[in-house]
Amino acid sequence: MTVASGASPGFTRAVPPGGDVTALKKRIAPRLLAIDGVTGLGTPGGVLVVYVENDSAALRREVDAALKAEGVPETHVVVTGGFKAQ
Amino acid sequence: MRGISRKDIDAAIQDAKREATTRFLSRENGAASAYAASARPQHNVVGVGLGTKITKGKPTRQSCVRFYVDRKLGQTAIPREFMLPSEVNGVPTDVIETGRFLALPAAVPIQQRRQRPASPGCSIGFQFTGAKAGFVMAGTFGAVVAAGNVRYILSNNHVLADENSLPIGSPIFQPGLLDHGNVATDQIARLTRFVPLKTGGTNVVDAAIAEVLVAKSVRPRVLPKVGALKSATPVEATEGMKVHKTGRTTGYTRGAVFDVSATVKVQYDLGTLTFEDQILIRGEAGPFSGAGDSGSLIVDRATARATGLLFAGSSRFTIANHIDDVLDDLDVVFIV
Repeated sequence: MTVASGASPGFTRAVPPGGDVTALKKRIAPRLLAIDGVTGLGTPGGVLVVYVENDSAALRREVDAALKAEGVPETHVVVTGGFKAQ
Repeated sequence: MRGISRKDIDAAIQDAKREATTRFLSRENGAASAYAASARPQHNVVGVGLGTKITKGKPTRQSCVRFYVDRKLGQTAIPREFMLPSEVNGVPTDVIETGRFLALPAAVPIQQRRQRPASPGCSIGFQFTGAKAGFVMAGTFGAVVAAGNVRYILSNNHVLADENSLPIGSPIFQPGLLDHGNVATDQIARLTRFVPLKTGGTNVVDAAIAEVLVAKSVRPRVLPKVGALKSATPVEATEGMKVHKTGRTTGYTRGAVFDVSATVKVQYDLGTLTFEDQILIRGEAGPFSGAGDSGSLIVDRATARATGLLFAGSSRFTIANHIDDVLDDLDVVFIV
């Protein structure tokens, strides 16, 4: 898992060539969004990204475990802070 | 060196200051042009004060009467009859260039003030009722939209309908009551329709419309810098698209689209809601939005066409609904 919080995280494709990243996102969203601290999922640049409130080792482990259970070898994480209606 | 206070100034110097004020400080405004300066004392002197005399850039121990002037002109540029005296009542004088003093702009930014006609980008909101009566709020007027001949203000459900809780017909105020909107005089619209926010399942938009009471009380041109939409047809958000908005809280800001299909969890009073297919935007210079900016229209800078409706954010990102989803769900079109 690669963590990025500043400029463009320099994405590399995290799904096999020909894989449908949007379908993958939809499939894993319920499991990932159930994790406290995960704020969302996205596909910028055609790459699966997990958005998190803050970066912590415990959260990374939890996200990695959830991804592994879904058969996703690697993805990227972007720290977003918590989202609130404005 | 200890500076002088008002209590230290002796009566003779106070008298000299009063004399200088009477003789040289005029109510006349001599500023005719940014490219002209007047040597006439009644035009050039903008204030009179007291202090220590400054010679060659360094303070001396000598008290003096100070003339504060719009422009300090070279002695050769000043006709003799317009020269300020070197002393008043035996007290030496000093001339200090301050520029012309202007009243500072009102602390209330334009987007938080009452406007008629009101423009997208300004403050709007509802009145809390029930358990929350007494609280006040404000959000942002997003755009003028229409269905048939009826004009509506477009914003978010949580800005116009208090997260599903207000009855249709509830009054909408400009400015919002947080910005000192007056319940008796500032109603501009009435809540007409909202897309219900769902606590279970996923949401696509946070949107609502309110019918404008008097058509002329709104205009479609967004507050300064964003300006008028070039077309009533939205443009699809794309990654990297340069966008801007004007909102009630952070005013005019610029940013770039980071993600066009994010699934996100957003905290509301109702609880944590999930939204699918959202636009994530990152500000170019600090946050793109803040609390109170909800409802702002996100506009593509390249085409001047609308692309999103701002409704949430964090300290790093802003979230917007795709505007075509909003227009489809509410069955309205932009007025430009």
